[in-house]
This record gives sequence, structure tokens and C-alpha cells, in this order.
Amino acid sequence: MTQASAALVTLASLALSYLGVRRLLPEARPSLTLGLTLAGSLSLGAWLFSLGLYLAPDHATTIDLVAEASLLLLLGRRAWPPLQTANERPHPILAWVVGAAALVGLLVFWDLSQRLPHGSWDAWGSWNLRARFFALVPGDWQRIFHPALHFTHPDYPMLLPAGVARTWRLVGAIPPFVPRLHAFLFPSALILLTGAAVAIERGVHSACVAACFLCLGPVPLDAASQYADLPLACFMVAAVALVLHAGHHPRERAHALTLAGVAAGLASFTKNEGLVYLILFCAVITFRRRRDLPWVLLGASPGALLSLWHKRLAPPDDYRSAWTLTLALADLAEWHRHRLAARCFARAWWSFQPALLLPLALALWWRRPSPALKWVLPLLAAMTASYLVAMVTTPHELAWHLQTAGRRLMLQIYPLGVLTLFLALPRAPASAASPPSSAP
Amino acid sequence: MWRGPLLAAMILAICFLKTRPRLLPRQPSNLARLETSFRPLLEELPPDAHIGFFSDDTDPADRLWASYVLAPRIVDPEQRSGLILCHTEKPPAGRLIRDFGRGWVLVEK
Repeated sequence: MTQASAALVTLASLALSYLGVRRLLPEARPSLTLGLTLAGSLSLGAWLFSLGLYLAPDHATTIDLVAEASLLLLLGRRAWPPLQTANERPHPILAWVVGAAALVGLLVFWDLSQRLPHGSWDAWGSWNLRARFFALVPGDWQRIFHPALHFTHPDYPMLLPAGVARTWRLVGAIPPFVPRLHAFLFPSALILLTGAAVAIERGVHSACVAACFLCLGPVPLDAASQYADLPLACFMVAAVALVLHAGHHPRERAHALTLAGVAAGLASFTKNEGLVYLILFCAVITFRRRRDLPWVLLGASPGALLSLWHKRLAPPDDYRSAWTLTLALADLAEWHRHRLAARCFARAWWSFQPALLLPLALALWWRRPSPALKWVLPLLAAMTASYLVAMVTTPHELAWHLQTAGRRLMLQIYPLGVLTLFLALPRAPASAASPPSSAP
Repeated sequence: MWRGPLLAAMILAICFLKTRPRLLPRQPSNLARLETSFRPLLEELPPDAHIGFFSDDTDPADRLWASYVLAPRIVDPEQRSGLILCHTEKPPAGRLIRDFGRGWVLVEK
């Protein structure tokens, strides 16, 4: 019964999110619409519920429901734009291959999530544990700041646990099915959004291959752990995909750029690393696409404000409280620390997908990249560099920190890396014939 | 027409054979077992309760599991009096309130 209720709540959120995306981006290709719908359905309710927790904790669910119902009324009253249909279809063999890869990904996720019903260590030790506080005692949720619960990292942003807690509140129980559902929907959105971003710039055939890389790589395996790394990756890719969409659809530019900002802002409300992403994303936009910046900043503000609000409330975690500039500078001067961190990152990439070397070699051979590579590659490079500095200057024992966090940091930027790689490849000949705006 | 399905079937087979050995064995059902064991405790303790914790195992997993299962009650290893949840062969002196089995007991000091 609780599973049916949770599914109903999720379906209602999906419907509202779909209406919003269709209203704001009527020209979006179906994969972008579907990816944004999935990500939006999980994040809108989570953001509203979090706002409710901050403003009136006892009425957080009411605030969320009233706001969503008002949005539904607002969106449903106006006439609907015509639905975009896909007129650039992949080759049938490629379509079969993508279908098989998606099925493999689904089976791997399903099998592993059956074995880890409560997720991996950090899922029940941090994300879902905090969600239980938000769901069971919303009026007293700040008890997560109790010193005995410092291991839950209470200063971590709230989007993921708040989203789970919101559904638990509406269902009236705390079944483990809900975080598992979220753990499935976010990576699904991630794969769709990466495919959509590649399709916008490089055509539907390249998009299919990129989607295969994600379905057959670490994404389904790590999704079952119920960590926040893949939701964060989802928002990172969503922000890039929306900027690419804005470049091809001038009539939707303002909406798409504002939504790109929303995605980057929500990244900052998902994990601490998301705050770094938000800063670097805005910096790259400032340097490469300055006229887009006001819209991006406007969109980013809701997520960023809640993120900063939470940082003000919560006690600092062990990294922040032990980090000092003097020690960090000393660590930065030690070459072997850079070497250890770089080796750990390289091993992570190799473990994700050694076959990525093939498109990398092709990209280096042909050198006919998308113009978007001029700003997406610096963004990826800046994220990698910031993670390297964070690891090198860690106040913890470096080997331990790399072992526990190094691979997951790379996992966060892995989809962005796959996207960057496919932007570096030439556009597939069959897709080049179709005009970009008529693509699915 | 048959090449697409054949290629898809080959990918399915190769990927599944490649991935299968990497999958973990089923998660130790400690969490599910603790949830069942502690159910009477969850009904008796108010949500705002603070209970102490004692374990002679250096692995912090015990306390983390207990915190997760008993949330939103706070499981505090610094608390030395009142209700103490213990996971040990030799529980500290105090009145035994309940024995959950597998070394988990609740005592009052």
C-alpha cells in the first residue's frame, strides 16, 4: 500500500514537472523534456519542502502542497503549445543497441538495489538518516545538529534527504522503496540529459553511443548505493544541456538559461561540491558567454540561497573545521600529494570505462569539435582541478581520503566528461543533414 | 532486420557476464534485523528520546546502524546514565530492560 502511495505521489510530481517543462521549453527535444521532467519532479518538491522546514517546520508539507497546487493551476490555465515530435531517428540497429544497453543498466541497478535495500554506508549513515528526521519530526528537524550525530554530516545540503522525506511525509510511512525510487529516477534523468545535450550539438547517433557509455558504465552500479553523487552529476549535465538548448532555440533562450541557472543552483543544494560547480559554471559563463550570465544568476539564486542558509545554520563538518590556509599551502607544495591524487583520479576513470579511450583517440585524430567545447571543456577542467586541490589540501590522511572519496568525486564529473568527449567528436554524417532545430 | 536484435542480445550477454561477478553479495541484513528487533523499543520510546550507547566493538557501524534504525531518537555514546543501548558480550552494570538477542541489550543506569 505504501509503495502504491509513493508511486502516486511521484506520478503527481512527474505530471506537474512535465507541465512546467512543456510550458517553458515547448521546442525541447523529447529526451531533454523527459530528463528535465524526471529531475524537476524530484527537486521541485524537495526545494519547497526544504523551504518549509526553514520557514515553518510544522507546516512544511502544507507549504509544499499549496505551492505545487498553485503552480499546477497557473500552468494548466493557458493554451498548450504543439508537442514536438522526433523527426531525426537513430538507425534501427543503434536503437536496438541503446535499448539493450538500457536494459543491462536497469537489470544491474535492480539486482544491486535488491542486495542493498537501504543503500550503501553513506546512504543510511547520512542521507536517509537525515531524511528520517525530516519526515518523522519536521518540527524538530534541527536535532540533526546534535553532536552525537556529527557523523551524518548535518552541514551537507538538504535536497536529496528533503526529497525523500517529503514523499515519506505524504505517504505517511518511511518505506525504503522511496529512496530506491529516487536512486533510480535521478540517474535515468542523467542519462537522458547527457543524451539530449550530445544530440543537440552532435546529432542523435552520437547521443545514442554516449547513452550506451553511461548505461554500461558505473552509473547503474553506483545508483543503487543511493548516494548524492549521481543527482549532483544530473544537475551539472542539466545546466550544460540547457545552455546548449538556448544556443539553438533563440525564442526559448531566456527560459532555458534561467533553468540552466536553476540546475546549477540545485547542484549547490545537493552536495558541497555543487557549490564549487555553481561558482565555476558562473565563472565560465562570465568569460565565454557573458550575455547569458544575468539569466543564469537569476535561476541559480533559489538553490544557492537555501544552500547558503543551511551552511549558516549547520555546524561545520570535520573538513571545514580542520582546514587552514597555512596547512593547505604547505600541502600544495608537496609534489607527491599531487601525484597520489592524480593517480587515484586516473584509476577511477580507467575503472569507469576503459573503452572511452576509443572516442578520445577519434576526437584527437579528427579535431572537428563542437563550438560548445570552448566552454564545456574549461568547465570540466576547472572542476577536475578544484577536486584535485581539495584532495591535496585535505586535513585528513590523504590516502584514506582518496580511498573513500576520490572515486566518487570523479563519478560526479564522469557524465560531464562523456558529454565533453562527444562534443569533441565530429558530427555524425547521417545527422548532419537534419537542421538542429528539427532534431528530437 | 535480424542484425539489430542479434547485436543487442550479444551486448546483453557480454555485459551481464562481465558485470555479474562484480556485484556484491546480499547486504548483511543487520539493518533489517535490527529494525525488526527494535520495533517494540520504537513503540515505547518517544521520538525525542536520547539514549546512551555502549559497544566493545571498535567498528562504528554498530552505533550508526542503531542511530539509523532508532531515528529520530538520538543515540549518544557520551550519555552515561538513563537508558543505554549496548552491543557487547558484557553489558555495563544496570537494570536489564530488554534483551534483543545477538548481544544487543537495553539497560538502565
